[in-house]
Amino acid sequence: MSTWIIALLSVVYLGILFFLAAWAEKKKVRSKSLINNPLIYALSLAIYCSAWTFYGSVGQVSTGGMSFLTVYLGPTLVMILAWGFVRKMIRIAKIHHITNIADFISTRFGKDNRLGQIITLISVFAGIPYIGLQLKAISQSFDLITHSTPEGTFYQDPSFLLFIALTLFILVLGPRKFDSSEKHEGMIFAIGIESIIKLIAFLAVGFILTYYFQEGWSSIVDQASIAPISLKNQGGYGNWFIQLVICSVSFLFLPRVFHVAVVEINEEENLKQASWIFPLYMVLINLFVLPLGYAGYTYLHSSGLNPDLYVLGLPLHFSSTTLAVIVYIGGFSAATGMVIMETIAISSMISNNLFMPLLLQRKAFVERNQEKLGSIIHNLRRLFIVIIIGMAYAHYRINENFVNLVSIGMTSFLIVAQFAPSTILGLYWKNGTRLGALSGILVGFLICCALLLLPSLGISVDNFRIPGFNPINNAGYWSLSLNTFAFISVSILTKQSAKEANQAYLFVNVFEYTQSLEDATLWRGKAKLKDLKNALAGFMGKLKAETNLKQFAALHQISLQETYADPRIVNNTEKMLAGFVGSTSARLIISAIAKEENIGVSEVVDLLQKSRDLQQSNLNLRKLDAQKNEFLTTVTHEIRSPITSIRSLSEIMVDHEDIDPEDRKKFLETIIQESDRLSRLVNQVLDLEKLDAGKQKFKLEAILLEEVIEKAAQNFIAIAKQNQVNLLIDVSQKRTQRKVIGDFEKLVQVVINLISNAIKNVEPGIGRITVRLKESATHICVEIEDNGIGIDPKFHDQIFEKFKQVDNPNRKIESSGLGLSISKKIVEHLQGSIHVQSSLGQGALFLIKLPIE
Amino acid sequence: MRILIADDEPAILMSLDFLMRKEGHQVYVARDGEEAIQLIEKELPEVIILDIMMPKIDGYGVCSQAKALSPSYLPKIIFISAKIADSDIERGYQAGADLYVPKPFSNRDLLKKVHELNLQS
Repeated sequence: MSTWIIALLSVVYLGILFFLAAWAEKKKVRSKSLINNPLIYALSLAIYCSAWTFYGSVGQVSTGGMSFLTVYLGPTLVMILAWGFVRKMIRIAKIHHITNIADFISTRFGKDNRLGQIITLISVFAGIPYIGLQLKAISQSFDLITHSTPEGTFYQDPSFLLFIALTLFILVLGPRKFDSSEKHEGMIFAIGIESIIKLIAFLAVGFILTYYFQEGWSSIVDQASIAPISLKNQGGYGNWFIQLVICSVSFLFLPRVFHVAVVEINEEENLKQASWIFPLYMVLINLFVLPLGYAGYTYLHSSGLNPDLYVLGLPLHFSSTTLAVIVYIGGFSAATGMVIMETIAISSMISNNLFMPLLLQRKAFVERNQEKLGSIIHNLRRLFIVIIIGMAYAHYRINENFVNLVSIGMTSFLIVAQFAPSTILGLYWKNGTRLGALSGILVGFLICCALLLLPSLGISVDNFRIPGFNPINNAGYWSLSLNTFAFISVSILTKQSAKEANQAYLFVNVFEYTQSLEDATLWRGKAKLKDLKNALAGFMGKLKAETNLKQFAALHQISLQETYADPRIVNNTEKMLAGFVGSTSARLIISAIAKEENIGVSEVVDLLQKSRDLQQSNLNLRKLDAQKNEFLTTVTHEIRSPITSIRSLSEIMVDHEDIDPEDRKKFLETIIQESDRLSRLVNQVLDLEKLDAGKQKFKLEAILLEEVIEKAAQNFIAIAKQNQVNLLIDVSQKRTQRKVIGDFEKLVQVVINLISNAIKNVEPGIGRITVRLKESATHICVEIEDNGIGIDPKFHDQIFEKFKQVDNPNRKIESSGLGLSISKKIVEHLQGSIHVQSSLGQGALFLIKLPIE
Repeated sequence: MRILIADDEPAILMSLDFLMRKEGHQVYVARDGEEAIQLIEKELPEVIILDIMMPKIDGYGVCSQAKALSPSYLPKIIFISAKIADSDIERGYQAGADLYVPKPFSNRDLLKKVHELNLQS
């Protein structure tokens, strides 16, 4: 295909991406986020699959068999099995306003700047060749599809122009000015789209090549038996295992993955579903790696084409231009996605962790440019992005024909994997120290460099070579184990500073204190309000800084008139600054402004505890308030019914003087009944309130429950007859004369409540209610049993709550819904208990158990 | 006119029954939602006065079932309820009520409103 068509296509592709990103940003402004959902989150995680995946894994299968799978299996396992760990990282990053991996680790170990610098340098060291790899993939695929051979100087290379377009794209959408969140709505949306494109492209080429140009899987397997590709693990299971470990632990520490997974996530909830969507993506994108590898070997091995380009070479071999273009765009999207996110993440690390601390040391410069610090950083970040891409390009040109995609990728993985031991252990083990982390990471990194670089300088490392391991896995084995060992042993041998201990405590216990951490002030000291304001203004502009301060002060009712700032303001300022410059640099800025005192861990725990207790009691109060409101609504509602009848019936009698005397009598009787109901209700409400408040007076004496039951039953003789209910009082035979302590009248009330409930629940004619007494060594139990409609066991707890009436189709006598609630309170006040045994249609048995005197 | 009144409070049922008869309407009364629906299906009353909180099927349920009965059957529906919050009233109208009368109500008012409603149709 002609060079300019492909170049134009690539630029148009970037243009569309840019348009989509800008559109998403615009939507976000209208507060409708396109990326705040599990799908886009999972797709953005697929940024893990770079050009190395797109082109490299097919290359690897045709040279190295199944070992390519570890690269996918690792992150898949992390998302499925280490889900809780990812969530912990996300939570911590959110609370501490962490913006990159260097920030994350250095914040854990006492906001130590030096650690952040080392991590940044190592990340750059690992990242640049990796970005170079992507540029190489773009360039090679470009050359292959356009049939051109690069010649002349670099600026005559057409793919060089593509890199410039890409760089511009990143510069426009990348670094944020005056925004502390480090969130790139549009960019993430674009990345999500790119993930879809690369998946579709890969599936398309796989499917068409397998089923259209050949006769499905079986024919490929036949060919494979001729091809000397071994499905067997080359190098044995030891290799496989080490490679799996490297791919798993490095996943989250790749700067771009950390950025999308931890920094850009909108809601923690999205992680839950992403933990299966992402693995699914990984399965899909691997579906056709094997057939493509075999087919590539069969058709292209003899042509001498680099196996990494088989994916693109195959459609060209079959002269399918459209498919080749699709593949090219898929690969282009895989490469650009990686380059975009990686450069943004690394530039943020360089500026926050490497450059800012240096800049801040030059006090004179800072003071002179206080107003412009935000813009300076903004421009510096852009500069860093250009430098990073430039270095990556240089790296790729220099090493052009030197290594294949996979080995650079794996080396990169291995290097960032060195961050894993101290970070993973550091999130669960409080005693991990700064020096431990520093030594672990340095030891691991140096071992990697030694084992991988020395051979190329002609120095043999065979003495350290474990038989059967390939060089990268060998280095992985030694570096990761000694890294872990160094971290643990140095941590045990060294002591934490107060600051370190605080951070360790906050990281390890993040879930316990999430809310408290947002509120509690873990700072003590003095800082001038004016200085804080100026520091903030430097990054977000004077106006925004001032509004922000005012809002915060108003929210927390802090006066802004004092010379020295409230500790909460200092805390908040540091958090805001952390969004711009990372938490270690924010710490530096604040400590330059403020004189602070150290707070010990026990004090931190104490402060957090207090803040949490306050929240708890606040929560309880709110709950109580809601209950009270509900109660009030229900009471007024219950009162409305009798008032309605009384009003309506009285009005009838006023308006209709000619009313039939029988009707008049019926109406007046109803009015009296309803008035009684009303006063009963009011009394019950008052009773309940008194019982709730513990103000109800109990006249305690030794009483015979037989007498209580007899007195209560007297009220029902007439009613039972009227309702055709057989009320059986079965207590006289077993008089033991043992008494309970109680208030006679109140207990009578309880029994009345229960009998009247029973009458409501039985069918006239066949209804039977039995009241019995039973005795144990310590208690006497009143049993009231009916053969009515019964109560569904799921309501058994509810019926004792205020106004909880279970829907009863036979409701004949009005009940307030307070009887059982009052009964329960009375019985419990007398150290007794009340229960129900029943199921639907089986009648009900209420048991009142009271202790014997 | 034929009116159905459904309420689980016997006293309210008694007074509304008397009131509507005096006005010359033919009245059917129901003690719960199920009974109400049976009567509606059988008698197709022109006006349905419904309490909201009733056993078995609540007023909203009765209302929607009555409206779904047949396209040609268009009863006027009046809710009478002790639920008097704005949100409750709004919900009543959303459920398809023609009128929402909070309890307690004045007989004269209610009659006037029923009359007006009748004129509209």
